[in-house]
Amino acid sequence: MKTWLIACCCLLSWMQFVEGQIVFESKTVEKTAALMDEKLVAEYKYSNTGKSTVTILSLKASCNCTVGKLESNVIKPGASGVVTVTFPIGNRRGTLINTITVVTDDPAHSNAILRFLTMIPEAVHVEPQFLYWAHGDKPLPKQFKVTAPSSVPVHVLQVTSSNPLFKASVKTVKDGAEYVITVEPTQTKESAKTVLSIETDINVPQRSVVKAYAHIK
Amino acid sequence: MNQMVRQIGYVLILATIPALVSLCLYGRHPWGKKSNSVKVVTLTQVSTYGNVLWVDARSRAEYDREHIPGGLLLNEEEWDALLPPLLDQWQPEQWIVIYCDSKQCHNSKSLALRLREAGLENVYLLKGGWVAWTKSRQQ
Repeated sequence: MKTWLIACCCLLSWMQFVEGQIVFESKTVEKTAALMDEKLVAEYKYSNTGKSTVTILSLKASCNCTVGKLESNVIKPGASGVVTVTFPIGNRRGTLINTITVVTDDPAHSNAILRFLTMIPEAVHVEPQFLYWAHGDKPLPKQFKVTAPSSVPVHVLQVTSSNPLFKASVKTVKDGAEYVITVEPTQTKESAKTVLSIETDINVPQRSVVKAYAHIK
Repeated sequence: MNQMVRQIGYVLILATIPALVSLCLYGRHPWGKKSNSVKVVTLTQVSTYGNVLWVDARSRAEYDREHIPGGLLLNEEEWDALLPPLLDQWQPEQWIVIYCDSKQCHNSKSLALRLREAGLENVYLLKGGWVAWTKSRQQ
């Protein structure tokens, strides 16, 4: 599936800019993040192979990426440069396809699409992330399973419930690898909800606390 | 009589074999069993069912420009911020129908799988996505 996607991206990229003056060395960059990475960076090298000057009018990213400032927006014949794209990992996970649209004043090909394929491993996995009790259900405990999918051990330090009507406790199944969080509502007659903050020892501020949710509705 | 007891015993033993195989493959928890396919539904199917929560898997800019009335934005980038309002809105028995722009639906499928993994059932993808919706409005 991934190979197929990359092949399609490459083909589309090649088709779009084959006759333009601005030629990119590669329009698709694929990066896999390490577990504790906070960002991924892609570089797209380009050069003006035409006979006239081309101006890059805008660079727009589909993701919340930051596109670095170009050395110069005006590219003279034979000149080259780099488009740098920084992708903040945050709470993202899995394979994501991000696009960056380059708009130029090249009359033949004013648009180029750059693709940034990011593979982000999950540091900690909570399943399910949402539990619910219907009105009138018995207020029996339900469980979240917390695992560390990679080989790096992750410890659950504590779990807090934002609503005292839901009691939460954590049990270690396998230290650093698997935990079970049990949530128990005190009643199910009235609608209520809680956010469970699962604090881990992951050393990246944005990824150290994982959220799970429980509702009565 | 003895023959009947023996036959019941055989049936129970035969039934135990697939159960043991299933236990070995998936474990005793339901989350061990996963499917990577998401059912695709048409606008007709959605309108027949009626009780739907629309989820917009396009970019925020596209969503801000226009979206299906009542539709909620959801994407991997802002998952933690966008999931809670979706859970607030969701009602049991409701279908969650995800639509993309019809051109690039890879991200919407992974979103559907993630929602299902999160614990929500009845998650579907809209055939034709946003384009199908806008076409149907024009007719």
